[in-house]
Amino acid sequence: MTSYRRAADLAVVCRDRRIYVGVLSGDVVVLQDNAALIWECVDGSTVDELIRTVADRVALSESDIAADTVRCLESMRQAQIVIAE
Amino acid sequence: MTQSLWAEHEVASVRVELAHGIVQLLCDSRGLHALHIKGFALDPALRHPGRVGTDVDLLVRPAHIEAARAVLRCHGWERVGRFATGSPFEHAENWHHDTLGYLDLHRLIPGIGLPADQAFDFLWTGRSTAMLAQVACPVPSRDAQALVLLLHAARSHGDQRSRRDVDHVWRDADAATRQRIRELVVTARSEVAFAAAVGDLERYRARPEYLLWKVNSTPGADRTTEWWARIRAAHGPRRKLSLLCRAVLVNRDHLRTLRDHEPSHTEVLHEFLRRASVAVREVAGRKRLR
Repeated sequence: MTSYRRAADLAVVCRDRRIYVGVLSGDVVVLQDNAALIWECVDGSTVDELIRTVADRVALSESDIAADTVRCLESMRQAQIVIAE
Repeated sequence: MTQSLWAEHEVASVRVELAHGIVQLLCDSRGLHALHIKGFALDPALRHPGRVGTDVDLLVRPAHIEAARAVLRCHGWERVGRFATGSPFEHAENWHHDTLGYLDLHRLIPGIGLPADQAFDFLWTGRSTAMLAQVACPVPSRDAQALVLLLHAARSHGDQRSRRDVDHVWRDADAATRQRIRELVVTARSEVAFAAAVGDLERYRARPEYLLWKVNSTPGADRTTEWWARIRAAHGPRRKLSLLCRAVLVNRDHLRTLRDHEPSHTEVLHEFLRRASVAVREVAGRKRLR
């Protein structure tokens, strides 16, 4: 089962309910709303565990948020701010 | 679910803090010694209200300068200025990143009289850490930061921000803090520049660097006087001769910044003639500072 963790070597600034994540190349990704929440929950968990955690935090069912969470994780992986293992 | 691009949400203070963090990560990746000075890296107790950082100031161990340049180049930074033309003290070169903005890479702190490598060791040995963008960034000790701020004020032509810096970190400081800073001044051999910052420069009229600090600590000095001050403060005949030659040449880096493009031969020639004309006028009508 694939698990996700935050990449090492990131610069992170939280400001005004947004999370700004910078990588070594200087590219910056801005996370807000549920994307920020997913980022906060990424800690080496599997996708299913993450979906469960996020669903608990936003008080929705896992089925309601599963697709968006997977899509968001993939986007974060492509931006090199999370690593899938 | 929102994940968006930086361009849509750019915030200047966030950009500078991210730049500090990312540059430190780059230094860590290559084992480079660097100290974050001024701006966001400044100890909160030394910041007067309203003082904001607009770029990253990084003092790099002189032996690590080349490696620092290499790692910056590899990660999207472009050098836009050179030590030789950056300031009368030739202390920093300017870099730019499309996303992260400007970085001043320092090889020395103007006003510290120790050789550059010893000056770095002096600041590095007493270093502390500031968390910037969740990255541990080495910074000088708080007292050394105050000294760096005062030395910077000494070359800021008496501008308002620097006057407030001097008031905040020196005039309003308690006796014990002042004593610790004075001890650092002696250790760092920065008596003349420090005196320029706190209004005591006339005690050092006999020192070769007096005029340089006089010119840089007061508003309105002309360029001809500044060059004369640099030549007077320079060590050794070769260095003096080199400065004399450069005084008549056009600073292409500066011209490029002003024009926002690589200056043509014609533009350089026009600038050369303009400078010559200004120099003649300044010499003819000089109000001597001494």
